[in-house]
Amino acid sequence: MNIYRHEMRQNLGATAGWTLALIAIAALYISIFPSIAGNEQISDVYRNFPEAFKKTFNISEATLSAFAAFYALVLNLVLLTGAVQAMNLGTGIVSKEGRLKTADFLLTRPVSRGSVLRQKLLTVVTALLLTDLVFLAVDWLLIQAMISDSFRFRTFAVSSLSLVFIQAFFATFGFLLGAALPRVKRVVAVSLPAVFGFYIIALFDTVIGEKVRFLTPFKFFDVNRLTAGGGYEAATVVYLAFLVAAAVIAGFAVYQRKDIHTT
Amino acid sequence: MNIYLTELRHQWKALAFWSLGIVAFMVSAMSKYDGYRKAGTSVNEIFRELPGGISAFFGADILDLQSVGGFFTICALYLAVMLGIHALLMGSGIIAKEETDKTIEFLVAKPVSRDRILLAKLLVGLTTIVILNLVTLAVSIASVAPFDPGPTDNGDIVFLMPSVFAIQLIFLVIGLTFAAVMRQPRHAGMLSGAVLLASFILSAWVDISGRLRFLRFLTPFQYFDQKSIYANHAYSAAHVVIAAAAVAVMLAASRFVYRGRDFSL
Repeated sequence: MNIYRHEMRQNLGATAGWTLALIAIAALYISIFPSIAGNEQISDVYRNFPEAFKKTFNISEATLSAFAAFYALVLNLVLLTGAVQAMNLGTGIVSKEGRLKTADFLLTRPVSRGSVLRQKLLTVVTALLLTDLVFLAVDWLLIQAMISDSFRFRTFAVSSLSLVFIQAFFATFGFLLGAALPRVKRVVAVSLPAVFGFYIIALFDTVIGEKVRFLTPFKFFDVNRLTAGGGYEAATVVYLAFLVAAAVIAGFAVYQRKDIHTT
Repeated sequence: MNIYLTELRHQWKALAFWSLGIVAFMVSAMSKYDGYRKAGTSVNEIFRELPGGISAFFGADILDLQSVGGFFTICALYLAVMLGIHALLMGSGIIAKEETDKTIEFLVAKPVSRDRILLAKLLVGLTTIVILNLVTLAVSIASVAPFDPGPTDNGDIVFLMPSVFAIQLIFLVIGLTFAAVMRQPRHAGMLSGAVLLASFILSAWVDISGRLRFLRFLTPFQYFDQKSIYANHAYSAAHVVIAAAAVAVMLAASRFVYRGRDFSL
């Protein structure tokens, strides 16, 4: 458990920084809603939902709050930032010993590589869950304080859960890359292109067509529908769980036999 | 000169990958445009109907997005972010790597001053961002070609590229400065990445909210905002001057600190 405790201490500052960044983004954007609330066009957003979806979730123009559509925008930016955090953390923590030339120190201790990696993974999970819990609590309070529109807690909770999902994807994807790449000299050089790459793929949803839902985590779920009161589709949740599990298993398998550079 | 050549040789592979990324981006962007046109949907409508003022972020209120030039302007907003990321990774990496790779002792033991090292590395950074900018220009002109743009559309693309270059230059220098002045340069990439993300989010916020316009002075994306440059067909002299001054100050600071800094080993 020493590695876990050490890694947690090392990552506490960065985790606090990211949490503050997420809160700042949410506060910045939520604060402008009251001033633009008047000219919000709910009907346009509403019209874009398929009939079947509206029926399933009992959504009508009357129940849809104007803030819902706006919160989708906020959530989009939060997801982007959260993704960068998760990917940095996942890639960084696994490739750290190779990068900082501390591998021979750590790996000559009486701990198996599996145990090293397990503790590192646990650090990632703890740090991200801490971030999400604090962020979501503050986010909800901000909404309560600044928004008079009715926005149900259930909708908030369900839609905000997407942050946890997207971080799970990027953290484990980074975890796998950190383990599989021969050496990661700079974490941001891996994480930023990857996250923005997926983000840009998501922008071209109409070119790629229906398949896009499985190509980029930013389209695993439609944020607009989530904030309107919709839920997650079972297929995507299963798919996401599969990807996460596959990345973790593959990461462990690769790391066990990896030739780690010590010079 | 040796430092310059060695470093430049190391950059080819990364440049090739980034160029491929730009090709992929422009091709998919223009095929999206093609899709809109074929389906007869109005691009203007699509963007104006975006909720919560997001339309202002895309410039739907001031641009004719139906035209090739207008649509390219939206692409340019994203190109600026992509190339900005390249530039900051470039700027921070080229300085920080001597310390992360433990090669700094080798380098400073050679008969070259630290000023020269910094200068050579800055020149490599400038060379790569110019190359990438020209690649982007060529790819952009080629990818709008099927939509028979008039000479004005191509002229607009050429006119917008300096704004993308300005953003590249600013982030190159931000990355370089962080790496040159920080005691732990390996964190420079992360920090300049955070600056870019914050600038982008703040820039979008200013567009969407339409409030606190003075915050525009805090984010380079507003200094060289492709949509207002396209709409007004002019660069803002004040912003160009401020940006140039900021770049000069950062470079002077890097030189000053890098000269006498202890390296982290």
